[in-house]
Amino acid sequence: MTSPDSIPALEIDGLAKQFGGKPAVDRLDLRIPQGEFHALLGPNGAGKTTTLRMVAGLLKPDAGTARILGHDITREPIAAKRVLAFLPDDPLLYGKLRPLEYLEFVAGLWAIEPATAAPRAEELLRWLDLWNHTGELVEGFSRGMRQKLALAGALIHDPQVLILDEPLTGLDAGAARQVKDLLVERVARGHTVILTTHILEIAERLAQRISIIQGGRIIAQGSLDELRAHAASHGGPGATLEDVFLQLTATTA
Amino acid sequence: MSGRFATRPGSTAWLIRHEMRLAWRGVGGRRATLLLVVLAVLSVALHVGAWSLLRRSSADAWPPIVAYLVGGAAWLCITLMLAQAIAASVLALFDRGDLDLLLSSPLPTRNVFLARGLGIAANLPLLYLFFLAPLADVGPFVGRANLLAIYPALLAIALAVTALALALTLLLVRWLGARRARSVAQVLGSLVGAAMFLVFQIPNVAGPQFTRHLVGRLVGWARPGGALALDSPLWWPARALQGDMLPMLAIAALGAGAFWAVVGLAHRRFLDGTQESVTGSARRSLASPRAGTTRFRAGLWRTMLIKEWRLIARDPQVIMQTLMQVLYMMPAMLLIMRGTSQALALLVPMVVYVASTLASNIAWLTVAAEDAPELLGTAPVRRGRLRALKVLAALLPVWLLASPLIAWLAWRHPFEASIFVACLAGSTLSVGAAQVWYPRQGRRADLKKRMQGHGILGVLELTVVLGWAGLAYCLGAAPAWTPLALLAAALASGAIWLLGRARREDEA
Repeated sequence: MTSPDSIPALEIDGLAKQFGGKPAVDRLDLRIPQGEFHALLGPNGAGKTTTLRMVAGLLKPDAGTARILGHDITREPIAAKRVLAFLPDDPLLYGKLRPLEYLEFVAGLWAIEPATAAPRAEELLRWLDLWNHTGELVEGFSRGMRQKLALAGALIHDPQVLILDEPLTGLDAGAARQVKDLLVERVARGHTVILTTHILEIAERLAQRISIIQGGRIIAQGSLDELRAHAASHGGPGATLEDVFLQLTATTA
Repeated sequence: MSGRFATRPGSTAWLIRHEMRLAWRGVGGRRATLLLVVLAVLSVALHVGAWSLLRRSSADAWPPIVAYLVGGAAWLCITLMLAQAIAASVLALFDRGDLDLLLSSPLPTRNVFLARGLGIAANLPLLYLFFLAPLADVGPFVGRANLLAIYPALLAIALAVTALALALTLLLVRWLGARRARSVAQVLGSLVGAAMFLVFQIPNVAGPQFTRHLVGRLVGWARPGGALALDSPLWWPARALQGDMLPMLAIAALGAGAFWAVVGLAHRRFLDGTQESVTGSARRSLASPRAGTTRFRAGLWRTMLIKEWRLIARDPQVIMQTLMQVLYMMPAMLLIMRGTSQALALLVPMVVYVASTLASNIAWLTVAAEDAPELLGTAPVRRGRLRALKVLAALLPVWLLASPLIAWLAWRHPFEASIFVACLAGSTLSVGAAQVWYPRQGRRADLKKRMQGHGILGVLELTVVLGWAGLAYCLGAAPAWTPLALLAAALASGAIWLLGRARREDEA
């Protein structure tokens, strides 16, 4: 019998998606264990966002499966989504709602009891420095404030798997630090964080394992040391993640 | 850039040219040439009509009744111009995307404000000029050169109206903050437009006794020396349009003076308001403790309905449209409610039609114009359940609005009440279902043009609504036609279901 902890947080098998006959994701396989901080790197148009949107149930795959904690996102979408939160790179919020009203709505979608949701919302808003803005409509928020509110929405149901697409875009240094600390803290509590980023330094410092994606397929995967070793074997000792990334994406382009 | 009409870059004239270009860009779209040809043909026809009218009419002073009619028409136009100018002010002062560029350039703010104001003033009289210019053009050839005054008088009126609209918009910004002012100004603009309609409905609404009393008072005021006498300054706009020198000069002085004063005094408020609309107001940052507290509610249906209602209540477009429909319906409803059973047979389908179009618009906002589709897409709830709740959120306010009429009908005319309830439910549920059957994504701001690119769908939706309204009429007054109306509504609903099938499969 499989123990709950041995079920991968995310398991992708042969996932594929085409747009206009061109493969955006090409039979992609990926397995991320529970409690891991995983970074998905790749050049523009590599298929990162398409992959994540299929995993989140926002896009229907042409082929393959994606399972979140054992729940197939296509066959058991409700069970899969219950344990998942997805934060897109440019989250769309309700301009005419106030932050607490937004969080109340998100909590309602995930069927979180008000007694749990209300204090959690306050805690998140205070922690993300949005508590002083609770009387304002979201339409007046800066991009960074919107990003933080969307993150609060993603965390209100305390998801076991958190998927973030470029989560630090638009955040100032202080807010970016807050978000990074929060993500690390979640992983320390046994939750899984999967993110895409263009900022290689973030993946280098935070991620336990990194997948490099290009042309809709994983071209390399491993810890930073494993990727460095891979790069060294191809002629570059002491390489940074940037060197590894550039080398790998150049050689497989 | 060279050419006879080239203006110095950065000058006020250059900015006005920029304003005019933006105002006209996109008018007519791909059919601009066809539109121009149609307008030219219409203009020629209007000139011929003006020639015929002026040749047959006397150059002497008009009889009092005509003078009053012309004076009233002038005020009607001024009121409509004010509504148009308020809407244009909101757009020009806060909504246009090029403000950051203009205000960060080395151009004086005053010039930017001046150009915006002149841009509004130049566009305001165009519609009225289209209809009045033939009189001015033909006038000199039939001994009525005084009618040439139409051009300067209309321009002066437009300047005065623009000044008033700019001042009103900026005052609202001062009192309410930029964002709220934008919403209130939009509603105010529509209400001003509707005010004249309501004035004309007073006799219908108030009854014959009050009307006789009112006419008596008006006749009294119209006597020489009274407030409404023909020599009263109240009629100067109409007299200015006919070329009377004193009213003409007075209106010109008023228009230019008011515009100059507003530009001179208010351009700093324009800058403050713009900054506030872009960055958020300091006043809002000092949020009241009440505003910061929200009582979390349990249950998906409750949070979904409340979220949708909050968004509807904070959407000036919906509020404006609802207000307008209720306002325009009120006089007719009051008149019919006092009338015969034949009139009652008209009331029921009329309200079914209006309520259904309102329900269709709100359902489009809640279902198609969802602001955060990705959030809902990742939520652990079936899409069908979410959509059903959204349709319910759209229909409940419409049913609530119709409930006083239902109660009145149930009390006075139970049979008509049952027809009304059945047809209202059938029609609003049909238009709500149409949003689910034919899913499309849109933006809230596009409510007015939501049918663009969906021409057949628009016709089908209209057929559904007319079918149910027709059914309401047939059940009350022409039972023989009932099956036909029901068939039309059912066929149109079926066609929407079929049309949307491919989209639904794609979504699944």
